Amino acid sequence: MSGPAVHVTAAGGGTIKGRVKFTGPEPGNRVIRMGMDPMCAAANQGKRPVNEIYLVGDDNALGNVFVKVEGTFPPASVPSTPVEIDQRACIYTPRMVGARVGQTLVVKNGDNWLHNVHTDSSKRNGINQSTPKAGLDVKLVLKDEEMLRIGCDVHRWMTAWVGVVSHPYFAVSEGKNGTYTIANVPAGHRTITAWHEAFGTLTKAVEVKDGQTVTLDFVYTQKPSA
Amino acid sequence: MGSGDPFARVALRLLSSIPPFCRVRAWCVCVGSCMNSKTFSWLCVAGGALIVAAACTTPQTAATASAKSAAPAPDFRLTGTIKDIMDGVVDPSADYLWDSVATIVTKKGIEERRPRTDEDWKNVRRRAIALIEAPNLLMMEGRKVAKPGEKSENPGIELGPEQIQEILDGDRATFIQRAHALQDAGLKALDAIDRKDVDGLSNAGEAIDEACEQCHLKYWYPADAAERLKAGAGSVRKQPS
Repeated sequence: MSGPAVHVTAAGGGTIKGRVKFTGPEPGNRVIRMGMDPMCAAANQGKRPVNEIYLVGDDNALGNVFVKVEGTFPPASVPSTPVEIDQRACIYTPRMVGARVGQTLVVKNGDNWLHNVHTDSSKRNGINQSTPKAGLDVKLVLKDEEMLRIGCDVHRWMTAWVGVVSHPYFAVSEGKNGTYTIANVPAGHRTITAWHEAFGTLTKAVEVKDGQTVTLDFVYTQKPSA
Repeated sequence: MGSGDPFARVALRLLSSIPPFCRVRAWCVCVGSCMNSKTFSWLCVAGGALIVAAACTTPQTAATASAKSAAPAPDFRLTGTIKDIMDGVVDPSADYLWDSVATIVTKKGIEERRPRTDEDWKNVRRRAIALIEAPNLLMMEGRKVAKPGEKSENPGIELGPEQIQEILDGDRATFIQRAHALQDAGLKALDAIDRKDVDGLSNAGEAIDEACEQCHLKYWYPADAAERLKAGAGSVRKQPS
């Protein structure tokens, strides 16, 4: 991996941008067998629904990677608009989102049948609430930083992730090209982590300068299979 | 009281149903006091047999208990914990079965994963056998949940080994039932494998998943179960695969 390239940008802290990739063969996503719930099966008739664990773009680009700046920063206002995830055709969309501590997470039910929003929280972001039909949303004000997994007890394949952060310096890599951008990062020596639900965490350091953009790529190296 | 006498036959049958030691005593009671009346001889023998049998019950029970306490130690030796067996046998065997039938989507296309050769089926069968027999290991008397001092890997979400042990010891019958459920699901897989039935194996995979999760909900993260019931949902959860 080459060192960070620096470009001059607009003022207001610096920008970190880059691309997430992986080496080795594409692991692939398993087609979900939805036969246990005829409603889900019918909603996906003629399709091959998958959990997008590996959201792969061109040239091994990897999406659904949560990239964030580590550390604490001066308080910044929390967006009043909620972060939304939809339960549609028995799949969470999107699979990965970022949100602020204090921000509201809304999990909508786009299906007119029972789902159950259940978070695996080791902090104070726990919730376990049914959404029996379309239009009944689950709302959760996020209280602590963590990678929060959301699952549906009724349909075990359903999984989504929320990267909950106390500051605004985070991004989720795009599926098509694996790119991410984090703007207005306070200048200084920063540690950046990239988290993927299957590949794990990568950590890199970077120098952020006011008005400049620094490029920081992440590459997951797969061990050769036995 | 000859052998052709129906009363005597009944009496003999009654006598023969009690242990030899007691039988002799009953016979003596009968012969010594009930020689004159056939009817009376039947009642006498029956009553005598019952009395003597009852008298023999106490020493016999004591002897059984004594024999039990003196029973030799079992031949098997417990070396691993339930956690070890879950990690070393159950989990990898179940994973192998689940992974043996799948459709994988990549940018290059779709891979239909399934056992194809005789060797493939043989390998899947080996794992099914391991999965079916593993519950017997789990059910062995004296097997502990974990080594002393081991802790929950996700406190707050999962119970600790000591808590799991307490639940298990408090209701062993349910543990046995859960273990049998896993065996039943494994047997479904074995049946499908022996018929080289890919769909059957896939369906058995779901049954195995269900058996695993029902047991995990009872012993591993039971708080989830209570919450789920409160929420009115009907099924169980699984970590992402």
